[in-house]
Amino acid sequence: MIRATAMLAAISAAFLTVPANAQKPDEFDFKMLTESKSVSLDRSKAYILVEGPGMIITSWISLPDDAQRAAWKEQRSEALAKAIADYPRDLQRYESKLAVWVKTGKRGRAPEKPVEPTEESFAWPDLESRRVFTVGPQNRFSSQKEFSLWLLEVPEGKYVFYSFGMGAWTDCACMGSLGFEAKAGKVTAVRVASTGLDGRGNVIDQFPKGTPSLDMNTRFAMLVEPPSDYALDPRLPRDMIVAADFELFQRLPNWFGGTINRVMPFEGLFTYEGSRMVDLRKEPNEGSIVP
Amino acid sequence: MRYLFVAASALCLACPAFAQEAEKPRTDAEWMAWVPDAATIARPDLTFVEDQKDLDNYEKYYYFHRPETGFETALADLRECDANARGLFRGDFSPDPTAAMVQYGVLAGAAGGLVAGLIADAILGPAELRRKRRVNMRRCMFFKGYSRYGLDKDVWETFNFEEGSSSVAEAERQAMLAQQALVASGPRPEAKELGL
Repeated sequence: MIRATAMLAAISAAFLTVPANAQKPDEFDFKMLTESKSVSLDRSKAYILVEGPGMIITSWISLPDDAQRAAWKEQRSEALAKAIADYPRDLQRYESKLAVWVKTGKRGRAPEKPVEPTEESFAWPDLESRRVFTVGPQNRFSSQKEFSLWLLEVPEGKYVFYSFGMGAWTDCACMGSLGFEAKAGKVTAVRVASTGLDGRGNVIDQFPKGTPSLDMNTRFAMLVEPPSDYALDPRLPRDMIVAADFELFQRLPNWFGGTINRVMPFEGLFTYEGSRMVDLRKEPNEGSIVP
Repeated sequence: MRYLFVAASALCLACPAFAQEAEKPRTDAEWMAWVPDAATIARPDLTFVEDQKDLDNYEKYYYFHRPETGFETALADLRECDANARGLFRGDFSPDPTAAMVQYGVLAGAAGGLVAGLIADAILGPAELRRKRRVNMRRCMFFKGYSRYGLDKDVWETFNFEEGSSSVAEAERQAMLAQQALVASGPRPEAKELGL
C-alpha cells in the first residue's frame, strides 16, 4: 500500500511537471470571434486577424511547442511498444488465415502479412498534421463587399499558412509558405488572397476566354502578405493590431493529398530562386516545421 | 589450349552483362535511389505530326526541358515532383504515405482532413487523381525552372504514366522517370513552349 502510494505520488509529481497543454498535444483551443457591434479583447490572450477578399477558406498549422512534441514522441513510443507486444498474436492470426486461404484453393485476395513493428517501420503521423485548422468561409468578424475579416483567439505560438481549401480540396503551400508568431496582447494580422497566372507565371486579372480547365487549375496562385488598411477595424484597439512578422517555410508535407503549390513572392520580403525561397530582408527569418 | 582460350573469352563476354544484372535494383527502395548511367537509358522518340487533337491535349500530354541541366539533376527534380504527386495515391486511409501503417484513430485529426480526402476520392475517383497529378507535376517542374512542351498522346504514353485507380510498379515508374530525365536534360526542343 505504501509502495502504491509512493508510486502514485511519483506519478503525480511527474504529471505536475508536464505543462497542461502537453497532455494532449494534438488538441488545442481556438475561438472564432464573430460579427458583433463591439468586442472585448483580453490582453493576456493572443489573436489572429485573417483578411481575405471575400468568403474564402484557408487552413493553418498551429506549431506545437517543445513539450507537446515530447509528449507526442512519448505517445508514439507507447504505441510502438504495444504494437511490438501485439505482433506475435497478429502474426499467428495471419498464419491461420493464410492456411485457410491455401486450403480453400487460394480464392480471393491473399491475407496480408503484418509488418513487424520496429523503430524504423512503425510510422506515426506528424504532430503538425493533427494541428491544422481552417478559417472561413463562415464566422466572419467583418463581412463587407470589398473584404472579409476573421478574428481568432488562439494560444500564443507560431502559425503557418497551410492551404487554400481543406481536406483533399486543398491547394497546399507545400513548396513555399509563410508563418508568423502570435503574441499575447496582440492581434496579428495577415492578408490572404488568390489570383490567376499566365503561362509565364505572371499575375493576370482573368483567364483568357477558352483557357482549358486544367490550365486554369494549374495557374491558380496564392497570396499571403501583410494586411491592408481593412484590417484596422474600429472595434479593435489600434495599439493591439500588428502586421505579421513573417518567417519563411521552404517545404510543408502534403498531408491531405491536395494539389501542391506555393505562396507568391512578395516585394521586399522574399522571392524565389528556382524552387527555393530567398529572404530579401536585412535580417532573414526562416522557420521549419521540424525543429 | 584453344579450348581454354574460347572458354575464357566466353566468360569475359559474360562479365559486363553479369555486372549490370547484379547492379540492377531489386527492392522498391533501391529503385527509388537508382541513378543509372544516362548512356544506358533508351531515348524516347519525340517525333509526331501535330494535329488539332494534339493541340487540344497539350494540357495533359507534355514533357519538360531545362537548358544546361544534367541528367542526374533532372532525375532528382522529376523524382521530387513525382513524390509530391504520388502522395495523392493511397491504398490506406491516410493520404500521407509515411503514415500507411499507423495505428491511429482516423477521426482524431484536428481538421478532419483525412476524412475529407476519403470522401473526395470516393466522389471524384480516378479522374480527380489524374487531374491532381498533372497539376502537381506541371507546377512543381515550373517552379524548378523547367519549360513544358506538348506531345502526342501515343508518344507520351511510351515513357509516361498516369495514376488513377491503380498505381505504377516502382521499377516501371523509375525507368520512365529516367527516360523523362534524359529528355529534360537533352537537346533544346524546337517546339513551342507551353509555360506553366
